[in-house]
Amino acid sequence: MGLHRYPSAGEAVEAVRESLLGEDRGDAYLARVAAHLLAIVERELAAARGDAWLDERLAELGVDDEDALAAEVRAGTWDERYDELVGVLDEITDERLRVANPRHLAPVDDDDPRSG
Amino acid sequence: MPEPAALAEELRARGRLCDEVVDLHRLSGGSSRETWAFTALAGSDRSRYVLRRDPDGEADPVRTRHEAIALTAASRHGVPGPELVSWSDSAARLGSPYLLMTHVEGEAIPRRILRDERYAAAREVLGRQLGRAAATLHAVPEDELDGLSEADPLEAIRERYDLVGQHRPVLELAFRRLAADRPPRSERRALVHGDFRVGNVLVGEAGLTAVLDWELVHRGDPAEDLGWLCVRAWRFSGPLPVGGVATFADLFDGYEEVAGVRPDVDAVRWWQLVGTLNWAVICLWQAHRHFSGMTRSVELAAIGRRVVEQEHDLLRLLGEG
Repeated sequence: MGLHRYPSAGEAVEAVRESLLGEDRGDAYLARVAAHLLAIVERELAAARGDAWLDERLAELGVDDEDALAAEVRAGTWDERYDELVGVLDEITDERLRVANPRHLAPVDDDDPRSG
Repeated sequence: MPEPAALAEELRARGRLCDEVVDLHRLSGGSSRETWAFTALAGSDRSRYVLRRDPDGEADPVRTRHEAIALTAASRHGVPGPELVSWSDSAARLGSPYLLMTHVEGEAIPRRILRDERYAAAREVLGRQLGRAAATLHAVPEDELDGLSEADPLEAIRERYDLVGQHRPVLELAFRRLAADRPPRSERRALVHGDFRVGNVLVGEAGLTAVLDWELVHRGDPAEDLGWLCVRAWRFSGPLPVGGVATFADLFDGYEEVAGVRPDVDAVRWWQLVGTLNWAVICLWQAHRHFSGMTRSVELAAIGRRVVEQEHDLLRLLGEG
């Protein structure tokens, strides 16, 4: 279970390869989707942080992997240490987003319906 | 593929003029349903129709029945959209459950609605029109909703999340917080469209022409539709928070014009978070369809990497309290 997953870089490349040779061949829209997925893999390969970095962040919270952390969150283990948990989840999520879609990191502050 | 002769016969059986069905072609969009357009010729008259149909071997009679109940009620009460000509939840007539409706002019593709010069005037009024349409459909009397069901939203999302089996701490956090912050149950169990957003409506140069894609219709809290409409993904990178084209004031003003009261904004906020969580789990589910071998697809695989966008938004929205 790595930092970037579902699909992992290998699984993403596999999906692109299948698309290149399968029924999708010649479909302009799916070609753009494939290029988009390869751009993600490209950023992932260039990124300084990887699985070891994720393991360090999880170790700060005293867990070995995200399955264990997810189970603890579900069970309420982190209810009293919410800020500590969210600090690490923010870091991990932003790192993933820098690879998956850096434009989505642009700040948004106008989407609270209670302002309307 | 539906048979043109069977379509012509069906139209005539419903009292519609039709000598011949021509120009039958499949429209793109809608991965779970086939959508076909065609023209009925009768003398010098040409009338256009749309057929929504389950793919062969993937009949979903309950969904078709729900959509027919909703379309009929919504159209009777003035929600803009097509007229339902005929429908069936059996495969007997057209090979698969279907809905046959009149064709409505308009653009469905969000990118065009948001950016083409042609829709500049429509964008000015769309937010208010969406508010009015939502309030109109939410006002359908409860006794016309027989046959529609209601599910607990968090349980339904959790069920799909568990099916995928990918464990995500941010999503677990959102499930937990949303369960704790649930708003009081709204008294009215309204008709809820279930997928009310740009992309599922048609827009002409003067604005909204149709509310489409009723396949997730159910009974529930009317704030659900407004919260879903306010999910960031449905801005399609547009400049304004409601569908990329409107402010909350536009949407709620339009809603109030019809409903007489403004929506409960705290409930809308809760449903906005539920919607963001739901979209995260739908993204996981789409990737799961690829990984499980149900449908190998580069497009479905790519959607898996969008989960983190929703996780980012969930952390931000939860942080705003």
